Amino acid sequence: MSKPPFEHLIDFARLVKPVLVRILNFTMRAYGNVKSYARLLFGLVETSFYGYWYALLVHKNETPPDTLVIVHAVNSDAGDRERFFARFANKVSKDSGCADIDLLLVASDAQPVTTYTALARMFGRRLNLQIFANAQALVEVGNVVASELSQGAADTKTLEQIQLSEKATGCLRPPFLSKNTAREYLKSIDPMGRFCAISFPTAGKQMELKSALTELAKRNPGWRFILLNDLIAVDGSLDELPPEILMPSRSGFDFLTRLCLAAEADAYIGAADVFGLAAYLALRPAYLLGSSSLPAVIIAKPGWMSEDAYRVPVDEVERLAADLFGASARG
Amino acid sequence: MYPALATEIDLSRKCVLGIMDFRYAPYALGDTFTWLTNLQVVAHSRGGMPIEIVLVTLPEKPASPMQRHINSYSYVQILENLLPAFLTCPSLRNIRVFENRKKLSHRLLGAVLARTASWPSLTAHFRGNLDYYTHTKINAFYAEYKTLPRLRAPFGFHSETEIFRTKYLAGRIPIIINIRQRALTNDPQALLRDSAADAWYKFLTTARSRWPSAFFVIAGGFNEWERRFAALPNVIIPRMFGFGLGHELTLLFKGTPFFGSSSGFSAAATFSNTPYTITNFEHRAAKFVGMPVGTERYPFALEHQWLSWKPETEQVLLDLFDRLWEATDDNRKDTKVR
Repeated sequence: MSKPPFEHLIDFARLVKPVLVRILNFTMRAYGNVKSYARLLFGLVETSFYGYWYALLVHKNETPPDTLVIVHAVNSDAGDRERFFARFANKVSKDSGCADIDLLLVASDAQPVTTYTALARMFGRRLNLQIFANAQALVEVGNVVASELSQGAADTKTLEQIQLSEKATGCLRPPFLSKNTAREYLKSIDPMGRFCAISFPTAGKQMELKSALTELAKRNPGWRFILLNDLIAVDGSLDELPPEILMPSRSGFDFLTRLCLAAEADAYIGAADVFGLAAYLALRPAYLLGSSSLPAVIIAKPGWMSEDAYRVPVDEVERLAADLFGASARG
Repeated sequence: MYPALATEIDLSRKCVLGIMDFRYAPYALGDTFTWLTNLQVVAHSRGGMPIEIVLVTLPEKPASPMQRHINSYSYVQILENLLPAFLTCPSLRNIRVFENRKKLSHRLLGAVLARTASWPSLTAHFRGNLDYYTHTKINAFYAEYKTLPRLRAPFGFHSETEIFRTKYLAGRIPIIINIRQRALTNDPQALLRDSAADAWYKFLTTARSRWPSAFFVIAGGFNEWERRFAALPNVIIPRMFGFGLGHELTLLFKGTPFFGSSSGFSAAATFSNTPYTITNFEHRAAKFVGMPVGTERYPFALEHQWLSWKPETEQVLLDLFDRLWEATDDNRKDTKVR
């Protein structure tokens, strides 16, 4: 009995399919190879052209064009992160038109270098980063960079305090994703509410945090408080806090997002640390604790926030600070 | 010759270059460790020269077509979160992150003119042809030299990790676990590789009575665990306390045994000296790592380093963990309750 015609067609298709698949695969591979060699050629031409051009520009200007160069050796000194942040803000505000930042960091075993890269990310722009594993690695790279670093290090050592320039305020350009995550976090809790960020000093007199925060929430209805410290720095158990006390590190927020929270909150009270600086630079009403128990970084004065830009009066922020830290904690 | 270019050429002669160009390479933890080990193999083949890592994240094309969800507004956070992984390279001299095309070209031109050894090779880089996940080169190196350059704890995280140990792990024996749960993330991918959360939950519940001194440290993305895991008394999640990838890697590379599914952290364990058992090893991956399905160890594995190809069930996990627990410290045998 002969097969119906469509079954012949199916048999034929079965025979032809593997051949067609092989031809197709071969064509795809050939196309991929041609494309990748074209990329090789284009890449070499592009690299040579831009590479020589850039070398010429550096030669003419004696510095990288349209670039702010910042050099820092990470160390374990108290306030090193704050000094870096403040110097960075001053430099960026002084040269606000530059499109690129070249940041050279010498890493240290004392603390994570990634904290510093996150701080640098708060200023936006194209960040060309160079991390040296140690000082020896830096020496191998050459004298120009090493001399810049030693100059930078000398500046850091000799200054007790770094005066933040007036122009530095408003210079932050945090990454969108972190900034949006911070804002949405606040909105998800209470879109109309008032949030005050807090960062406890890690040095100096230890406070009984749990009872202090509980009392603060009780005495200030209408406010929510965001504890920015991670639990690396804070001692003691912080379980069973009232719902008005928020702990973003418990929600898995990284350091960059917590910096953005400092800049997004309605007010800031606490240490003159990187969170305090972020709030200051974002023009948030802030009350920084006195320098006696803190790395002295900026010369802060109450009332430096833009009054019309924000909805929280200065005296209310002062009152919150006094409420939590007591009048004696002020510098 | 312009002095700036002469400097780059001079620097290129003194190092081996690792180029991770995210225009064609993925932002992926596991692939980063494989890439780093390949890079170390190249450096060792060149007499142990220091390594310079070049990361390319140009805002105009920050990611490959494989990761279309990463764009010029979101890559910064993803790179920042991945950065500690690159600090695990022992022969590292420096890392450079380029966001400016001209500066990148200048660096690469120096390397081309100096004919610097690199991973991938400069030709492969320009062709956009990176072997970022196979063990071909690694296995060949091990076959020839009977050793493999291992990764180490990232620098800078030691003192903070010790704080974590002191505050939260005192008196307990930590075990790092990683339960792959990409289905819970904003970027679900390759869900067939995901772990069975129920099996892990049951395992951890049983482990509480069977190994009372064991304390399980869940490592990995904050969104990759179900809430019920956080409530288990024998489990701690460092990312709930402000710790991150760098601290987790420090714990792992400093010898805390690893027990978890085949994913980014398992790749870190693979190239470490740490005892581990990798569960749920993907059969499809056998050809990439150059082993037949069912092989119990990588060719370059150390004594207490195992693979499991079986699907995860409570019993499978209990048996595998029992072997790891006993193997990693014989003195602990008396702490096990049968």
